[in-house]
Amino acid sequence: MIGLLVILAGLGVFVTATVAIVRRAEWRLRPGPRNTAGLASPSDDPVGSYVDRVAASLALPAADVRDVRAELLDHLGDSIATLEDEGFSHDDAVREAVGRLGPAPELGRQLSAAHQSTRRLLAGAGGGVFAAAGGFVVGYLGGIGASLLMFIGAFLAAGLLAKVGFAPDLTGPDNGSTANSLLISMTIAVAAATSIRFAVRTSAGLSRRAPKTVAGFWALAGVVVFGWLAIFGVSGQQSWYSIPIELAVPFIAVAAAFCRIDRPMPHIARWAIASFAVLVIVTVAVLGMATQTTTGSDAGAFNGPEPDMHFDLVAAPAPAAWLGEGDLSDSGSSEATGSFGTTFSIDLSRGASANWHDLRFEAWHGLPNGDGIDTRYTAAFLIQPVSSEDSTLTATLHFERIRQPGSWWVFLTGVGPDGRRYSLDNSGGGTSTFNGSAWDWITAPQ
Amino acid sequence: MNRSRAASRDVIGRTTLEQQRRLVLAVVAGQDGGALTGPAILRRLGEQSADGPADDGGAVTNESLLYPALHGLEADWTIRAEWQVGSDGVRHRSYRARRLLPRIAGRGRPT
Repeated sequence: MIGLLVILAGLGVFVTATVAIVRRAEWRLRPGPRNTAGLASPSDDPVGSYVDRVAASLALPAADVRDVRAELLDHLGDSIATLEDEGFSHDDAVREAVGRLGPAPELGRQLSAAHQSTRRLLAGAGGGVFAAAGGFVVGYLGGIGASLLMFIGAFLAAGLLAKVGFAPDLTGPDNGSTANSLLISMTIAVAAATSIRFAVRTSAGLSRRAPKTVAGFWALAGVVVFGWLAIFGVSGQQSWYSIPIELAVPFIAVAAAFCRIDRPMPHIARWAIASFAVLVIVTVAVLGMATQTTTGSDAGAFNGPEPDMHFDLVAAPAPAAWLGEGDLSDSGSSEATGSFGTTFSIDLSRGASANWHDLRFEAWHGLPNGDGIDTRYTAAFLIQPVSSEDSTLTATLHFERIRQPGSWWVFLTGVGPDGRRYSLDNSGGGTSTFNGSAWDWITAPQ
Repeated sequence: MNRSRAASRDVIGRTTLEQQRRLVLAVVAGQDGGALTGPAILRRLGEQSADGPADDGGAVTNESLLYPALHGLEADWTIRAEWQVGSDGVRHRSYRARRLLPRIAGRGRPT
């Protein structure tokens, strides 16, 4: 409990620091009440006109342009007063003071170069990385919130539709895999977009460069990092609905870096936190009610053959002459090892093993709730030859790499002395869901 | 001729930006923590060059490099800039040397 509090407190400090650094950097990018960057307002006042032309040639954030303008006006005012004291007429003093500062475009170019030092570039890069990491956390939380909001809306809509006689099954036939995969993919997409946007705005402010100047670098970084993360890095449930979102993450990163990047970001931290808290409470309440009305479970293993379970589809039972009672032990034992597959082990006596060759575990599609083999299929969907150590036969089946494994039954089969394949043992059944990256889903065998 | 005079004479001709940065930094650092505005720095440079040989010309001829030098030094965190309200009630941008540690009161550099 204390560890959890420390983690939450650390996360809170990190997010707060990120928002602070982003806002501080963004302050420089905010257009002021008289932002003349890019504009050369025609002015009868030669001093104002000169300063406007310098400002127009500055490739700097708005706050720096404002500072340069004010400083040059102050400097020219001082110079003109000094020259007038030396006997210059006002017009001559103005001409002389402006002339001493040199051509406006050249001064603007030199000032821009002076501001954009290597040290500030490094500060921008470091600050951008920090902001990107913090932005990912902020975006991740925001993505979860937005996804939950969408699901709550969908459930409410489904409830209303149910009242008029049309009840859509939101969990779908895949026990919620589609919903979970959509939650994960949308969260990553929002996190990537927020991260890149934070990075561009922060690094632009700290390095004194226009956001579009640094956007290309961050877009490339976003494509590489978040593209890899979305397509190869994040493992979990997948569906054909979530795959397009994950494949679009690199494009989302590019769009986040360039689209309307000159506009200040909305800082909605307080509202976001409050909305997120409300969402979590509502979601927990909705899920709690849903759990109470749900009967039975769709997960876990089920064992034991029944007379009408169509196990004969797999292969004929091994004749007793070649597989006596007691030749098999530990039958049906399986060890779930998470994303690394499910391992099955069966002990076969030395005497009986001489009768069999080409031993293998076969996984067949099953009916929901352990009601036997699904007769729509005529072949195993996963086959793994056994590896034997002493008398123990072992094989690991990767259900998590099959797109829609659903319910399954696993059998130990082998070829007998007559050259025919027989079913030696039923190793039990269960249900599984896909667990892998988007790339694993795309390249899955079925 | 002391070293600062020799350096200041560089400002008379067409100094490079790097030379101008050194001259400006010498003037700002010579303030012992005090702040100077751009025009004040320019006057100091002019006074130093006026103490030099007559063929130095006018120190103000290369004013165009003053602000690029100042802003470059600020960007490199060598000097610090801040807006201060002067006795005339007008805000001026002032520059002072940046120190790693704050100076201990009463232990200023002997003049």
